[in-house]
Amino acid sequence: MKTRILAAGLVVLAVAAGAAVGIGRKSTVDIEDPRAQAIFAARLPDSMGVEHDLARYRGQVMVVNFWATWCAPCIEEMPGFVRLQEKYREQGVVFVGVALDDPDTVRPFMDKLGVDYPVLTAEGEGYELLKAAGDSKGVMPYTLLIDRRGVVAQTRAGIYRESELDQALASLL
Amino acid sequence: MTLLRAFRIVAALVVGGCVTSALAAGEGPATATPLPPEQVFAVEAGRASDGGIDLAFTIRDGYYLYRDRIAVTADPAGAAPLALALPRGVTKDDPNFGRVEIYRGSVDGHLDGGPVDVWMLDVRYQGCADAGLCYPPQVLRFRVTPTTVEAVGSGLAALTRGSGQARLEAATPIALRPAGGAANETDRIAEALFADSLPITLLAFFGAGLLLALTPCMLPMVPILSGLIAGQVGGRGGATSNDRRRAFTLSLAYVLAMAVTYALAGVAAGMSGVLLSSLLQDPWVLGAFAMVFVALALSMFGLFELQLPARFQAWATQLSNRLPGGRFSGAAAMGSLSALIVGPCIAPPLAGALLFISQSGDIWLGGAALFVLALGMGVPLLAVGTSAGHLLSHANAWYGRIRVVFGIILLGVAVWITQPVWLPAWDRMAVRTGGTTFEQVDSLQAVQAVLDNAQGRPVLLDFTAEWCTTCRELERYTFADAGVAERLSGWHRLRFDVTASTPADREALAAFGLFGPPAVLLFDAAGREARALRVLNFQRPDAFLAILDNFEARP
Repeated sequence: MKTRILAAGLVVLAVAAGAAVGIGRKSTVDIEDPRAQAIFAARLPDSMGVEHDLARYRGQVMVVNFWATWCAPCIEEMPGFVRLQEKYREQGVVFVGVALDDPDTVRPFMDKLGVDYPVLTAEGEGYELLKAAGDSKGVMPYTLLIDRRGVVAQTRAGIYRESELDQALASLL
Repeated sequence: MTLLRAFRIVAALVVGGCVTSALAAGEGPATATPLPPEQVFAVEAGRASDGGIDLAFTIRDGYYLYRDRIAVTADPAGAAPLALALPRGVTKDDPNFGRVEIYRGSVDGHLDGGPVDVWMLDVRYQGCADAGLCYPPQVLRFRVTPTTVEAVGSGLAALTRGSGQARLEAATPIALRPAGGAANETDRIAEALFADSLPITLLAFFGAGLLLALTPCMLPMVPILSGLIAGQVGGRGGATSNDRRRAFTLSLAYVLAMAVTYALAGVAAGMSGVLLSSLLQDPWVLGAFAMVFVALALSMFGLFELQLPARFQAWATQLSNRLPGGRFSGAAAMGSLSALIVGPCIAPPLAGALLFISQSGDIWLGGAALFVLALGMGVPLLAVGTSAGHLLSHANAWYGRIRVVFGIILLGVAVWITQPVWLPAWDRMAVRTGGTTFEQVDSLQAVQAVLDNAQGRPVLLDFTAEWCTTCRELERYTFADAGVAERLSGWHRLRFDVTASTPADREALAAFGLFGPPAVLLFDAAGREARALRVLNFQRPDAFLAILDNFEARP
């Protein structure tokens, strides 16, 4: 009996130690995440040429999606984003697209894809922002999930399937 | 009833093992960390014999370039006509873009020369991965002189051809290795681990451990643990709840010791920086472990019945007596020992975990991860151990019968862990016994000698290496095909094995502007290579025959 308690105690201790390390790690990583800082510091024009500060979305659950009109997988995932924006709008989720193209090229795509969330454009400086956001190789699509505290909860290089993103968003709300 | 249940357990173990190894062998989508673009696309440029410029794009398996996004510009503008001639690509039907032309494997382009002697050529290209991501447009700048074209201001290797002779500018022999193979698999595991946060990482390790517990690798632990428990618990009439409790605590001591051993081994490996996975490719090490498995199998068949289990038990008892803490120390000692025994069997995930430790530089995290992995592996053992004590006290009969099955599986494991040793040898034999045969060459001079003296026959040059899984597929399915062998019967067939990566190997690869195998090059009787028809990835026999058709249909 004694050994059993001892063994159980060991397991509990191991789990607790693991959790403690995990929590400690999390807080140090998250406090000043340069990726989120870069996003919030950005000021970019939308497809009509109106400038937006990305900091205005701070405090909401943000899905920041970098894409380009020539990137087939980017286009492929966007209808799913439109549906999820609709689904989670009331719960304070905001999708923000950042297109690495000029506004004139982006505009027709907005209609074609039925995108009703804000899409900003960034030509030259777009790649700088993309890198600062954690995508060192500049691959697209690249998507960041930022929680209400302004902490990057997840990043994804490559297609974000609707069901996966749905789950990820549900876990942040 | 118990026998049936035992069979079910074994069946589940075997199926689980197959599923796990299938998962490990599969090509997962490259979501975690994409490769840098220079490892995916390579561009070479050289002066063509007509005074123009030849461009050669090489594209990694699983990636493609868009035809209409390849463009060239000149600085100063007007230095060259810049009419880029590119072959037709493969049509890809994209739901959003409609029909687009893409290139896979490799593509050659040609530019006419211009009036200016020295100028800068910018080559732009853009491509994507089948896994569902795209690379930003890449630009490579070349400096063009009347005799040379060299890449400037980039980290890419460029083959610069003067008039006639080949000269290597910078060699990156590993840049375009094909996907797959142990090293890549290991990298991918490490990448997957990096992408997640700590609790998820630990959870993933625990899950991986559970999956590993279902592989045949863990089977040797079952008789060892059962033997231990039988020695301590069994031998009396009915099972009391006390017996079951003792069986459980013994199993727990065994599993915890196993977990601690893995954690310590991992931390030690991480700190010393020794790459265990390379050690585990050594034929002698693998052979030694295979012998342990064979010995265990023989004992299962009863050959060692009188001695080995008795010795194990005697040893365990001895340890129990000698060490403080009684029989639990014995179980713990056996747990550590068992961990070492089955180590090589689960080498790929272990190597992934060790790579993770060395890359993260976080010894504690790595140790914790391995500990959790081993705990996952141990959970089913706890169940087996606890019930084995219970069952063994009832009857030894089911266990006696099931041992033969265990023995056979253990022999299978022995064969499986020595796979890196015999698989290449087997492949070489398979090639000799059927299909296309090759003349081995080991230097550029040997190749050149055949090309110079082809006697009206075309020449096929196949670059291969033992680590090259695609080459193995080409051998097994394409060159072994009777139709292909028949078609190539009139050819000079040369095989260049670059496994050893000697200076001569690297020289030959560089001379043909290759980064490594697989590569099948086709030359006409005059020794001119059909560059556009280079085979740089797996081609099924019919596809390969179509390439040969194209070769013969050339003007």
